[in-house]
Amino acid sequence: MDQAVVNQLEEIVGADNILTSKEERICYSYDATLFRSMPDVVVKPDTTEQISTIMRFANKEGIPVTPRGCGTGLSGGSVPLKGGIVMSLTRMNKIKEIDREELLAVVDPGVINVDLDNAVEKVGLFYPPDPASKKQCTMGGNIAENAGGLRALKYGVTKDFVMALEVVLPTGDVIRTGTRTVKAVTGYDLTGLMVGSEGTLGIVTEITVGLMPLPEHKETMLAIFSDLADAATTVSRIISAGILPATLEFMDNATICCVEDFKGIGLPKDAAALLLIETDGIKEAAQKEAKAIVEICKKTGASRIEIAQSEEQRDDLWAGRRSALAAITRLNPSLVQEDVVVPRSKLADMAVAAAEIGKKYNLKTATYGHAGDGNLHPSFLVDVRRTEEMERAEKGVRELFETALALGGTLSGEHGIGTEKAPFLRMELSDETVNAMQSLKKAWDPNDMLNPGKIF
Amino acid sequence: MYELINQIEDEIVKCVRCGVCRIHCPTFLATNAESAVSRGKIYLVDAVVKGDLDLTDEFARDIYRCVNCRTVTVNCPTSVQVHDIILQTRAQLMKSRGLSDLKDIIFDISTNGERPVDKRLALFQEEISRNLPSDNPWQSLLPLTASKGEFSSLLKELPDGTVDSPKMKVGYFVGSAIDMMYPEIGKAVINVLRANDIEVVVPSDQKCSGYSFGTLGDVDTEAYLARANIEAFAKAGVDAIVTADSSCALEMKQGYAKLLGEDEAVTDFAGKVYELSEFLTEKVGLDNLKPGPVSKKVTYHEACTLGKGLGISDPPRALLNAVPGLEFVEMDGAELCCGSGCGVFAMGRNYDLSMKIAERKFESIMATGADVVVTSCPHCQLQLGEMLASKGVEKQFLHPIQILEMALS
Repeated sequence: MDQAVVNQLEEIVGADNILTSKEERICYSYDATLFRSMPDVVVKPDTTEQISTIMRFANKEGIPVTPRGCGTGLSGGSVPLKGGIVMSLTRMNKIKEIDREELLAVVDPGVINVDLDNAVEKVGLFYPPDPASKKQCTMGGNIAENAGGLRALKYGVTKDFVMALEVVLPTGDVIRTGTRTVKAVTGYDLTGLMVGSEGTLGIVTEITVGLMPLPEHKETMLAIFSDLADAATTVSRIISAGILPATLEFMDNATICCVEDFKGIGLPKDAAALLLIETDGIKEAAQKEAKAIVEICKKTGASRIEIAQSEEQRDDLWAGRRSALAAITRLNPSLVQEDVVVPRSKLADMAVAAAEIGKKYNLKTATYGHAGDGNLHPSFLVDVRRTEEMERAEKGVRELFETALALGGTLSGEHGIGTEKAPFLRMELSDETVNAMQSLKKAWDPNDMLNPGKIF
Repeated sequence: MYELINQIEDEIVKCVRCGVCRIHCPTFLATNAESAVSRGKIYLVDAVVKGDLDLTDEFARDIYRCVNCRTVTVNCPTSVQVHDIILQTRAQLMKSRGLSDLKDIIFDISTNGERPVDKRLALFQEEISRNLPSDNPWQSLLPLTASKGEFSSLLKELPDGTVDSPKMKVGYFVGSAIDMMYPEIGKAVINVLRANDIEVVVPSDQKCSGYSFGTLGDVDTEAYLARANIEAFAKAGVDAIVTADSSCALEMKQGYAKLLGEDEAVTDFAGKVYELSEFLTEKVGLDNLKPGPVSKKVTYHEACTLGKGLGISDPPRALLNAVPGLEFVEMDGAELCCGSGCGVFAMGRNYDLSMKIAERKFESIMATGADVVVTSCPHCQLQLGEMLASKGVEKQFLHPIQILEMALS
């Protein structure tokens, strides 16, 4: 990068907060996918003003900017495809305000998801959206991808909790979206537009989120099935019984085996599938719901039902589920993971199809996910060094999408399109729809310099 | 091109960059630098494998900016052997660039001899002088500091270890840190074992375990020391070899076989090595120790080499719980790394960073209200003692064996 540009950026963020060496830049060229691209420089601002100045400057100079949180995304969102500036937001990590009465918190974009949850728990509240990576992902990243998590069935996803944002537009203007009030219809819903825009419409510099009262009691259980279809039926039966568990997670046999090999928590390696289920709320209600779920599981053919008897046991089960992504890479080192959502009633069809597609293309496959919302993570475990295998994986991915769409589903539930799914976008969206989306992008980012090359 | 690094390519490719290391890696937590976190370092090594990056100064600095605590290795959900990748890469750096070339990168030798880091450099200097032959490359690197330091020599002043009717005969491996800084720990080892009818033999030709040299990437010196120790103890004809320094225990139990292969001499030796708390609980038995009362309020810091390296977590605690009158309060995060890296990380360019890592133990130590911090690693003892002193706090540091020695009366 031009030294004059570096000097200018250094003046904005300070010498300690700019990285130029090749070694440093290599460490900002990746995320948790297999996509790679080198930035020309990395900056770490810590005020809205610095970010605004950088964006004006970058626009003037025609330098692309890619914002980044922890860089643990699963769609290539923070990989700087066109080089330029990577802007790390992790220095902006203050929890500015927790208002117990208004049930809201105001945070910097670099606050780690779990840190917010831990902080509000101290005053008897919680922040529901909890991606599996909650300990290593930022609130800003959560906004960009409309992160979901393991509690979405009952509580919703990130967009359901974002009340207001401060955003630096691609051109440098600073705007506020939303309000601190419970309801508002004051102008267009720009908050809704921003959440899930994958860092392509603006850089979020302050986030106001709603909070929920911490449930008094939790019941956690594991239901084991010798038939995958029975697990899927169980999910439908639970919902149609009028129960909305906080968590309803699914793991197939391949996933179970890998997690057990890693964590050794006593998961049965011969099970076809398992469901991790959690109810929460007032003690009597949570227990009543749990009891009803146990009865349903018995009727749908669960071979075993285990209810966590202690905090420790509950933590173990959850830790097991959260380790799934990395644990399955014991099968093969490189991960190609999808994020399809289908209507809940089609869950079994999708899970079975994923296994069949894996078999068809001779790929090691594992599927787990948020059964309650129909959001599965079918995963091909490959070796990035084996080019021919990667080509088969790409074919497998296309078929996964075709299947999901044919079942009435969508390409991405929570990981985002990024660069990973961009080639497949028009499988689902019509040209008119894509044009409408791109016209928004063009209006906000006329020079296409904020996270270019993503989504479309 | 770089053979040693190419050998671990299969391990490198396992990293999926999930970022769990960002939660655990002490150097990352203290710097917020992606080039300091495990996945970043692994990615840099990968760049070298691919030919995108050479063995540059900055690459070397990044690879030496690791405490080798094994925290990420133990917590990585993919079980990437991060520790092995770092060590193998350092070995490649040593092989390709040489010790005198890496000297500036590892050590902050521009120091004036009066800073806290100089005590660490003086210690290492003494370790080199006492243990290595005159033609070893490390000797030509000296001096590393103007500071001389005053170090004891336990090996020369150990009490007699004979016993009238011994139940067992063990060899005591002292280790450089206890030899030079904490002779009272060594004396306690002998006293307690003798009080339990165990004869203690201390081969005088034992040397430094080699842990520090191996950790720095010098596998040749590590091998030289390994062979010397194996021979010294083979001659002694003992039933077991005990050590009170958990880094030495780890090196001898696991490191030697990894380094030298599993020939009979190596496996015989490794099979006899016990970390002291392991030995006392397994071979002597808590019921036989019969400790008397000790009236102190203690907390316990778990050394990384002990808990994460050797998987020994309960035995030291069991020893403390067996002492009547001892008030034992667990601290939050007892297993969190102190930043010393068994002395290696703290003794050079990374001293300030190591102390920043140590500082995160401050609140949890103070919150226990204990007067004594018990730990099985002399390096942790030095590090945490220095950290507390920098905050104007003085606590007594004791090895579990010293508590047992007090319990003898």
